[in-house]
Amino acid sequence: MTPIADPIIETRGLVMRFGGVEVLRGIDFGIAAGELRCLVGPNGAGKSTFFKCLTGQLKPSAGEIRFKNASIGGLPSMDIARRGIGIKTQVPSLYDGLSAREHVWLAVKRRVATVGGLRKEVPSLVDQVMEDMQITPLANRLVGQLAHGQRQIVELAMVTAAEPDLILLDEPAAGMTHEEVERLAELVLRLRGTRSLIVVEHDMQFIRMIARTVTVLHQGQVLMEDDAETVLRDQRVRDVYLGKREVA
Amino acid sequence: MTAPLKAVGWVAGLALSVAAVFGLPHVLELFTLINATIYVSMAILTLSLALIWGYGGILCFGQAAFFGLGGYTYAICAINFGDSTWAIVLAMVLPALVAALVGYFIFWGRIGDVYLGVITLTMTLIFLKFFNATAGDAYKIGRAALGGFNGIPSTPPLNLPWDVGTQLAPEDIWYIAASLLVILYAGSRWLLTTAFGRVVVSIRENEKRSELLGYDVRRYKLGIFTIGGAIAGMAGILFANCVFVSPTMFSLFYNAQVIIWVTVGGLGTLLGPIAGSIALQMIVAKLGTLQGLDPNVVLGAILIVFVLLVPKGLQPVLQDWWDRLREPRQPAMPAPAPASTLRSAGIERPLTSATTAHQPAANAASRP
Repeated sequence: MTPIADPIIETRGLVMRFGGVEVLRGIDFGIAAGELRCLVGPNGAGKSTFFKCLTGQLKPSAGEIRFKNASIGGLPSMDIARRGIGIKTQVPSLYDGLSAREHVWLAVKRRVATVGGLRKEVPSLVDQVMEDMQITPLANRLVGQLAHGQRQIVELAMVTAAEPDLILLDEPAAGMTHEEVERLAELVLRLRGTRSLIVVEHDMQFIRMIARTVTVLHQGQVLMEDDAETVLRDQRVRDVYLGKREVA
Repeated sequence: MTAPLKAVGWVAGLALSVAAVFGLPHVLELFTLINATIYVSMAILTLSLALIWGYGGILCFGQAAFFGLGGYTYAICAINFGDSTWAIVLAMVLPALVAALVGYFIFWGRIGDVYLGVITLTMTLIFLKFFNATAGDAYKIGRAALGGFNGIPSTPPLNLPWDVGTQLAPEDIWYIAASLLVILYAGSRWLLTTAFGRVVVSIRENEKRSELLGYDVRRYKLGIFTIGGAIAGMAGILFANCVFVSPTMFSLFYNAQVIIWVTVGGLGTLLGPIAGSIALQMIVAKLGTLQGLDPNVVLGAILIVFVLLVPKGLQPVLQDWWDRLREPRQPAMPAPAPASTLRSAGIERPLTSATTAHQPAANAASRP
């Protein structure tokens, strides 16, 4: 892979073992500030495990994770979140008994507490996020009662409301209708530039809509990294996805 | 509920509680009034568990430990100081400190829900064993003999602050207890509308999500657990004033009762557990006067009936009926019963079915 001049996040030789199983086998990865990177790979490639290491949900067995020039490997989730990494998990992680607005409020409140800001401004900031993400009509609905696509958007709204420098999206388009995917792509593209994003996705249409550079993960290692069209045309990548055993 | 209707509800509730607080002493016999004061003290204990279990998701099996500690601290200090003023303060502070200490190890040690139950249960049993073993002259704290199994029968009643000469009569203690219940209930409702309270509820709903947003869930859990300890301590002071302190305050019986009251009243509500505790105490007291029927068997039967037939508890069910009466055409909303919230309730399934534990949580904020 090509080294990045000033990476916002970087991993070197990241290894994650569960007992005898090595799920991540020395991942070298990095993205520049403001970049949008797609991470693809078949099931079991280690994408979600990789995200869990980045967000402190798992403590890496070996290797280094640097975020904004500080080592964060093995820190608790809470500390990593406060340093500015937000994640939308693969299975939506929401508060089913709370309203959509409360979700956004929790994120804004935390950001105001970390960054500093006026408490009085919180309600208007919340309204603004709801407006931006076009979820104002859902404000008082309990999130447990929303449709899957709406839940995905609420989670995205919550994650972005916390204004993290780096946003990790784990399969954000899963289970969405075509219209919802388009809307999601539009939202993601709006974030690009102001935020750095890593997006795990299987939906190639969606990847084509948003991505420039794509990193392919296979069996816990980086298989290749290139622009979207090259990667999607690559024979090895096709083999990996279609399940062919031998990889050149 | 619309804002004006809500205001009417609050005013009506306040009027009703004022009427009860100041009216009952004129209606009830002294003996009954003292009993009512005991019920109210137990209702305050129930409120403390309703808060930490129903809203904090912390199923504490030893909530009565803080109740007992409050009672003992009050009795020992009041005897030694000869004045109840500082005894009251210490009897709130000490249980809160013990809760904070135990909570620190539990929450910073990332102890899981089931083990939290085991640890708190063990804690209360240790206190029970200890105070049972304090018979004889060796166990004296200042002038207060702990009295082992018999407890401290000569627990002094409250006096006016810094006025040892004026001891309060049972009627006065009723006024204090009943007003305190109203104040603590209103205070708990208020607490849940604060930023702290809202984050506590979010942690009950999905602890991992709150961590990923950057919240230090340990602090919030410790905070609500400590507040619960202080409230339980206050209940202990009142109980000590109506009865006297003895090791039974730490017993399994009290601990289990509180859990039953919260379950029957409705987990994730405050008014339900308060009403449930008073109603069940009255029922059990009534049954106790009958021959050949063990009230505990009845209490157990009531619990089983509720868990099986009214798993949400009284308040949510009554509220649903009321909502349906007011808007008969609205179909009932499908109830979310996500697995994730189940776990955060602090209980897997033993007491409550899938819909129970978390269903009430749904409208938690809007329920009285």
